[in-house]
Amino acid sequence: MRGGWTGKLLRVDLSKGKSVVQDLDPKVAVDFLGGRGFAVKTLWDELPRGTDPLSPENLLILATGPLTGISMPSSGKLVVAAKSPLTGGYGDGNIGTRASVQLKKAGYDAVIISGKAEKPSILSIENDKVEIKDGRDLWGLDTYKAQEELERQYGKNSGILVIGPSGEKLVKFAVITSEKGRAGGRPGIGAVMGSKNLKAVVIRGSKEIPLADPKEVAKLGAESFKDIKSKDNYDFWVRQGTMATVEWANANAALPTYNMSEGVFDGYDKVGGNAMEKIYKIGQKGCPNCNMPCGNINEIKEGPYKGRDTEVDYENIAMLGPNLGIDNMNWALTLNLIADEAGVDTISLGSVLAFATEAMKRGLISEGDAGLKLDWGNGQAYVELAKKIVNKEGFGSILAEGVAYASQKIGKGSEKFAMHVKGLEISAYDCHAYIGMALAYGTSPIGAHHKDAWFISYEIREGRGVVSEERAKKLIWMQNVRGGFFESAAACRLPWVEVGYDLEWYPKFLKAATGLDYSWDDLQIIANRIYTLMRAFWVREKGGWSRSLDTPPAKWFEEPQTKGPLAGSKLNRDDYEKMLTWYYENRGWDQNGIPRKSTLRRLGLDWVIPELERVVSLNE
Amino acid sequence: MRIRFLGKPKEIMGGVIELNLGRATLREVLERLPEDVRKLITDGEKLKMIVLINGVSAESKGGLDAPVSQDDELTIMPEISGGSSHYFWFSGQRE
Repeated sequence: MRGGWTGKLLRVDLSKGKSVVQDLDPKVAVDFLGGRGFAVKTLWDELPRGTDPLSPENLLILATGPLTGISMPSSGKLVVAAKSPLTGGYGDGNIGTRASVQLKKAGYDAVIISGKAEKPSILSIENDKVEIKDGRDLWGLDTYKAQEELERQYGKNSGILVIGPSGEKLVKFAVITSEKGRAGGRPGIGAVMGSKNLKAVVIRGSKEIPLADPKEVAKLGAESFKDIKSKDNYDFWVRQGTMATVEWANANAALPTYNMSEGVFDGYDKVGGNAMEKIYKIGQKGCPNCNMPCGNINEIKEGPYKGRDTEVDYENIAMLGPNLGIDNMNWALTLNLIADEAGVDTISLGSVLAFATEAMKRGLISEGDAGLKLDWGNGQAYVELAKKIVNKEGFGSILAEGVAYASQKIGKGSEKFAMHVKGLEISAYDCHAYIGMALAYGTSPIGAHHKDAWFISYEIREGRGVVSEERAKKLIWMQNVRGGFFESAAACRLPWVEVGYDLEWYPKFLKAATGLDYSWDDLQIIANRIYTLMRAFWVREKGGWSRSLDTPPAKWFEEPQTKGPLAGSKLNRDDYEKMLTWYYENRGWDQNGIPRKSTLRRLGLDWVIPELERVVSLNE
Repeated sequence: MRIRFLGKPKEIMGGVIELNLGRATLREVLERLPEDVRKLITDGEKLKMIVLINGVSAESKGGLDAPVSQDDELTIMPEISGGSSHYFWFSGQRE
C-alpha cells in the first residue's frame, strides 16, 4: 500500500491487558476501504453468532479510512462500531473528532478492542506506546468533566473519546462522545464501551500519514477548500448549518411533531435557525480539516441550566423540541445538554420521551407509572424524566432500554406508535407523506438513521408520492454514496450534501492518497458489498429475516396527519411493499430481504455463503 | 401570484412576496426577481433549488418551462439535507 492507509491495525485485549499490532490485509483495504467497511468485515469474521453485545466478547471497533485526516475538506471522521445492544444487529456511528486524525498519525487504521478491564480504565495510545491505565478517578464523571480532565492530563490536542454515566450504566442508546458534544454510535456503542469498563480512549500521534502523492493531495486540498467557500449558500450554511432545516421541514410537513404524529408545528420559528441566530447562538465548532463548521454553540437563556452552552444541530432540536411539543428553545437546549453530558443519543432520547407522552395521553400508562405527568410542551417534566432515563432510575430505566423495548413492556398496542425500525429510534423526519424517505429509514442498515437515509429532498424536488422502481434504484444509489462510500472512506458528507461540493473530487483524492484508481462505479460496487455484508450480519444474528424488519411503524400507515399543507397524508402499505420489493430486487436480495447466493458471489462475498447457510437457506 | 422563500433567498426577499404576472412560465417568473436571488435559484438552464407550485414539484411540471398562473403559490427553498442540485446532474450522467 502506497498511502492513504497506514497498513496497521491495533488490537487491544482489555481482559488480558495486552495489545498487539497487526498488518492490514491489503485486499480488505482495497475491497472495503475502511470505517464501516472494516468494522462489518471484522465483526462478520470474528464475532460468533449470538454474542451478548454487552459481554466481554463483543468487539468495539474504532476505524478510520483512506481519506481520514488528509488535507481534504471535512476529513476528520472516525467510525465507532460493535454489535448493538439496542438492536441486536450491526451498529455503528461516526464522530467528527481529533481522535480520527490522531489515530492515523499514531500509525493505525483501526483499533479493535475486546475483553473487559478489571476496573474502570483508560486506553492510552501514543504512537507505538499503548497502555491501559487506571480510570477509576474518571468513572462517574460526565462527558464534559471527563473531557476537561483528560485534556488537562494529556494535552488539548489529544484525540479523546469518552463515555458518560449513561455509558457506564449501560443505557441502550448511550453514545461515545468527544470534545463536549460531538457524539457517535447511536445504537448503544457507548454502552458497549461501558460494558468493557473503558471510560476513555486517548490518542496522540506524531507520524506522517502516508500518502501516495502528497503534493497532489495538498493541491487538491487547497483547491477544494477554496471551492467550498465559493459556493452560493456557504455564508448562510456557516451561520445556520442544519438548523435551517427546522423551517424547511415544517414547510414540507416533515418536521417531527408530537411523536411523529404531525409534520408541522405552530411554534417552529421559535426553535428554528433564525431564532437560534438572533437569540441563542454564541459560537461555532467544527471537526478537524473542516471549513464549513456545522456545530452551533447556543447559550441557554432561562431555566435550571441558564448560562450554560450546548452544541446543537437540526436532529437534536427537532427531536427535543417539536417532537415533544416544545416551542421554547431553552428547554430543547437544556435537554440536549443533559443528553450530551450523560452521553446518550439525543434522537433516541427525544423519541422515548415522546413515546411515553403519547402512551400517557392514550391512557396506556398513568402518572403513577411514570412518576410524573407528561404533556406536550412541558419542558420541566421532560427534564425530570430525562434525568431518570440517563441514570436508569424508576420509569426512566424502562425508557433507557429504547422505545422498542418500552413498547413491548407497556404493550396494549403501543407498538403502533413506537417510532423505530429494527430497534433504532427514527431520526427527525416525519414520513407520512414521503414514501421514499420511509423506505430509506426502513432499509437503513443500522435501523432508522438519517445518515444513510436522506432521501426526502430528492423526493420533494422530483415529486412526492411516486411509487416506482426508479425511485428504489435512486435510493440505493444514494445510500451507497452516503452509507457506503462516506462511512467507509471515513469522511463527512456535508460538503457534498449541503453546499454542493462535487462528488468527482473524491476519486481524485483517493488516487492521490492511495495511488489507486477508483471510479464511482467501483465505489458503488464496494458500497453494495458493504451493504450486503451488513445485511448478512443481521440475518446471521436473527436466524432469518422478515420484511417487517424493513418497515416503519404502523402509525405512519394508519393515522394520517391532521394539520398543515399535507393534512390527510399517510403511507399506503401496498405501495410500500412494492417499493420494498423493488429495493430487494435491485440489491440482489430475495423477497424476504436475504442476500442471494449469486449476489454474494458477484460481490466477492462467497465466503459468507457457508456460514449464512447454517442459519437460513439461501436462494440462488 | 404568491411566492414564499426559505433559506438564503428569504434573507434577501423576506418571507413572502406577491407578483402580478398573469399566465407565465416559471422561467419568466424568476426573471422578475433580483439577479442575486435568481442566480441562487437557477443557472438559466436548470433549477438549483427546489421550487414547488401549489405544493407540487416544478421539476415534475416542466422545470423552468412549467406553466404558472396568477392564482398559484410558489415555494422556493434550498436542497437542505438532501444533496445539492449537482447531485441530480451527477446522477443523471450515470444512468
